[in-house]
Amino acid sequence: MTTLLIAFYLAILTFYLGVLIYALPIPLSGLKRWGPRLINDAFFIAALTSSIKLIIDFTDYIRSVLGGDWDNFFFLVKGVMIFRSLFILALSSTIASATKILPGFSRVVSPYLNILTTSLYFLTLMYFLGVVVYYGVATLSSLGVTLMAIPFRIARNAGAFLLSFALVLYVALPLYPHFLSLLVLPLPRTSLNLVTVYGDVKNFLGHKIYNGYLGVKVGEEYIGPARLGIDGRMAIFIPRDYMDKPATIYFDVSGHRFYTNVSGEPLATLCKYTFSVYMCRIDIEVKGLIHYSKGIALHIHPPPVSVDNIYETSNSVILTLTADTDTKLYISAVEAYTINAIIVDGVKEVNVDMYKAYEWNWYGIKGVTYVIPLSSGHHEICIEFDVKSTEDLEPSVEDLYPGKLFQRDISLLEILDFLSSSAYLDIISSILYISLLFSASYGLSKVLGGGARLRLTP
Amino acid sequence: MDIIALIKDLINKIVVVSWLLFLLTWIIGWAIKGAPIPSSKVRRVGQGLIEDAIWGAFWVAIGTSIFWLITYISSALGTAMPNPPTPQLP
Repeated sequence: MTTLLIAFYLAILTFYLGVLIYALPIPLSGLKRWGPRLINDAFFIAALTSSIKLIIDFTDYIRSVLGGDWDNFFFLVKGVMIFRSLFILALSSTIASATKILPGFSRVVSPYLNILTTSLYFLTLMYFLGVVVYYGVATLSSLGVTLMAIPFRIARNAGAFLLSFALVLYVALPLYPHFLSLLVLPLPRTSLNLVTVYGDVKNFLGHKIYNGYLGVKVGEEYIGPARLGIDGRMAIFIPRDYMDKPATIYFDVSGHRFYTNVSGEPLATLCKYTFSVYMCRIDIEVKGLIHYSKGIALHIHPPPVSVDNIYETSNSVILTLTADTDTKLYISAVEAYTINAIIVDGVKEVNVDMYKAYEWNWYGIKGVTYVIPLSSGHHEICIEFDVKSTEDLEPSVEDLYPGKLFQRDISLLEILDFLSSSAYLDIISSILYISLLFSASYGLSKVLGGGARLRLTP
Repeated sequence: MDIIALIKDLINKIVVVSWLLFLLTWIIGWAIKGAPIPSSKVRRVGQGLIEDAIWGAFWVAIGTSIFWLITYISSALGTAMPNPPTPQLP
């Protein structure tokens, strides 16, 4: 508002400067011509200043008439950004596994990775412009008017450009999804029909799980195990036709497949925020699992229990919990761990073999599960162990899902189609759209700053 | 708010100066027009100065009202300017 007030006073100042030049006793026509010009400018700016809110409301109205929606725009751009980032992450992890099978693979894929990264840059640019214009349209346009109001047209063009930039982008940027769908129409449909299922992973106590593996079982097909991403985010690529079939998501660690909150339901019905059919957010809650870290899992059955504290060091895990009923604590560890002692409520048991229940094989890694019976009530459990080697704690990259996916049945040509269409869409369409908007605002600034002067005075 | 005070101060000064300049120009204009020089060109210069001075005086006198009118019309159209700033004339 202060800038608008300044603009208004500047308009009045311009007006009186015009009057002063009128009254100057110097009969030079070049000088005298500035009189009526300044007075015109002052009236124009005063009208613009006092009706700037009306103008912004009107642009808002035009935007809604044309069908633009800011929430939709932000949602789409953010979603595509997440999608691209996840794809880049998956592709770069695939390079690591695929080079073992096909040397030189990384050299082939790196250029496409660069294209995807560039498209991410342009999406970020769109997002940034959107944020600036959405939150700053009033500031930008009043700043533009203030610049226009400076006497003798010193910053008139700059101000007019700023004003029209804010107005045009405010109207047209939310129409970007429509523009994008216009461009998508002539593209060939890629058969790389993968849906990204992403979300947070928590255990049944509500604690976030930061690493581990997930798998999805659809019919007889098992998709997985897929490693959790950075910060415990799940991201699995699932063929699109599997989305409508009943699926079960498992947390697949230490030789066990833990049930989650998704069991025998079509994934498509569980998606949160369905703005794109290729993105699906599902938050996962793992049943029975208390803790998982690098090949060692603590789980409990039956589960009514509350865990007060888990403390993990390099060779021990300390756990305090309160059980409502008699229950059993399971410790599943891969062979690389040697359990030295299990201390329950201060009673140390060195002969851990008495707890040994069964053995398992987890994608080529052998392991043992120990079972500790617990009565109801409060317990403090400490597990002391040694780690023989830091290798072979978890399945190797070749056995993980994205790598397996690319080994399987998708031809390189389909990936090419996908890459070229995404590059085409993100890079070209965003450049095209931004340059269209800029030329539109240049034209509007010409109208505001050059031609549109009120002819009031002789 | 400093810059607004500065602009207001400038406006006041310019209004005073333009009143004085109007008087000066008017006098000079009449002096040239009434000078005993038998040249229509000189007389036309004097006439032009008088006309300009009177236009200037007209705009100074009417200026505040016009700005008030502009803000009045714009706010009648639905704007929410805080309160139409009116310049204080000497």
